[in-house]
Amino acid sequence: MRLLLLSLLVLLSSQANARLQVGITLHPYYSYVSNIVGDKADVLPLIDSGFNPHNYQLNPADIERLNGLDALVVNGIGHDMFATNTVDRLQPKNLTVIYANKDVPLIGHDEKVNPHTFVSIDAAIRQVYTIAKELGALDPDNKAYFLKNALQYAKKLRALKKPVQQALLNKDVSKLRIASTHGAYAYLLQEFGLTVSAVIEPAHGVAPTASQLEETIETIRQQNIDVLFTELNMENKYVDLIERETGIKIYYFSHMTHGAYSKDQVEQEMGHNLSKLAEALSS
Amino acid sequence: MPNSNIEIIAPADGRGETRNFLLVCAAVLISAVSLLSLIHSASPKALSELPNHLSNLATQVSNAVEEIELFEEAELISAPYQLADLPLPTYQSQSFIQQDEHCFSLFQGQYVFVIERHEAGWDAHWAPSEQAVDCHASLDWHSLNQ
Repeated sequence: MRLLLLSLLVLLSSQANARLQVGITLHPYYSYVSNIVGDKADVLPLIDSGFNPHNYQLNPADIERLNGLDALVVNGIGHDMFATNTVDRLQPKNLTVIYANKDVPLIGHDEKVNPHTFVSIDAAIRQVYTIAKELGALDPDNKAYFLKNALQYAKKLRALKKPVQQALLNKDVSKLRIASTHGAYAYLLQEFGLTVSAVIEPAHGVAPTASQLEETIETIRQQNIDVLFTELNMENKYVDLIERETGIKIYYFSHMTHGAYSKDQVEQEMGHNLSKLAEALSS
Repeated sequence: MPNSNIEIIAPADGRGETRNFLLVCAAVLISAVSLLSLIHSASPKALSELPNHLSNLATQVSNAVEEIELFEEAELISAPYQLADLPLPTYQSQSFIQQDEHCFSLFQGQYVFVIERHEAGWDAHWAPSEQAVDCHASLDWHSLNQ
C-alpha cells in the first residue's frame, strides 16, 4: 500500500514537472499566455507587478526565476529591454525565448519602432498566434489545445471592437484631429482608420518642458485638435493645463502595464479603452 | 694601409623606411575608400519598407493567413478554395479578389497584397504596384512584417 502511494506521488510530481513553465515580461503577455495554455502550463511573471519597465534592472531573484523557465515570452522590440538584454548576455540553457512580435508588421523602423503592439487588437491577435505556435512546438501533446484556445481568444478580442465600429458607422473621421500624451495608441487608432496629429511627451512618462508644452498648446490650437488621449495610472499635471488652455476633450486610456497580473486584464482594459474611444468618436 | 676589399655600407638615412611606410598608408587609405564605397552602393539595394499607415492591413492579412491554416488543419476548409470561405479582411471598402484557385489579391493605393496556397501551406506578401496583379507577377515581393 505504502509502495503504491509512493509510486502515485512520484507519478504526480513527474507530471507536474512536465508542465511547461512559461515566463512573461509584461502584463499583456500574462493575459495572452494564460488564455492560450489554460490549465496545461504555468505562467510566471518574470518580475513582480508595480515596476517601471523603462528603467528596471533584473535582480538575483529574477535571474533565478529566469533559470527555472522553459520559455520566456517577450515583447522584444523595446518595451522589455530589462529582460532581453539580460537574456542575450546570460543565454540561459534550456530557455526558449519567444519573440511575440516577430511576425507583426510594425509602425516605425529600425531604432524608432513603436513597441506598443500590445495596446491593440489586431497586433495582439498576431502575437497570440505566434506564441501559441511556438508553445505548441515546445509541447506537441498540447499543440492543438493551444491553437484552439488562441483562436477562441482572438474571437473574444475582436468582439471588443464592436462599440467603436458602431460609433464609426456613417461617421466621417477624416476631419477628426487627435493628440496623445505618448505614442502608445498608434496601433489601436490605426485599426479604426485614425491617426495621431500630435504626440506631447518627449518620451514615455517624461513631462514636456515649459517650451515644449507651449509649442504643444499652439499646435493644438492651430490644427484644431479635438481630443487628447492620455494615460490612466500616470500623473500628468500638464494635461489639466492643456485642457484649460485649449478646451480640448480629454480621454484616459490604459497602457495595460499596471496593476496585478491577470488572465482577463487585456479584455477588461482594452474594453475600457475601446469604450472611451467610442465615446470620443460619438461626442 | 686600408684594405681595398672593405664593404661600404650606405648610411641609414631612413629613406627606404619612409617610402615603405607611405606605401602602407596609401594601401590602407585605398582599402578604406573602396570598402566605404561598397557600403554606400549597397544602401540603395536595401529592401523597401511597408508604409506605416498600411501596417494594420498587413497585420490583418497575417492574422487571416494563420486562421486559414488553422481552419484547413481542422478540415473546415479544403481545396478547391473559394473566396467566400476564407476569413479575409476588407480595407477601406476594398476586398480581396480571387485570381485563381490558389491566389487571392487586394490592391490598395500603390500596393498589392496577395495570399497564396503553396504546396507547403499558405503564405502572404506585399509589393509596390500600380495595378492589381496576381501572385505570379514579377514584382519586388516582401513578407508582411518587412
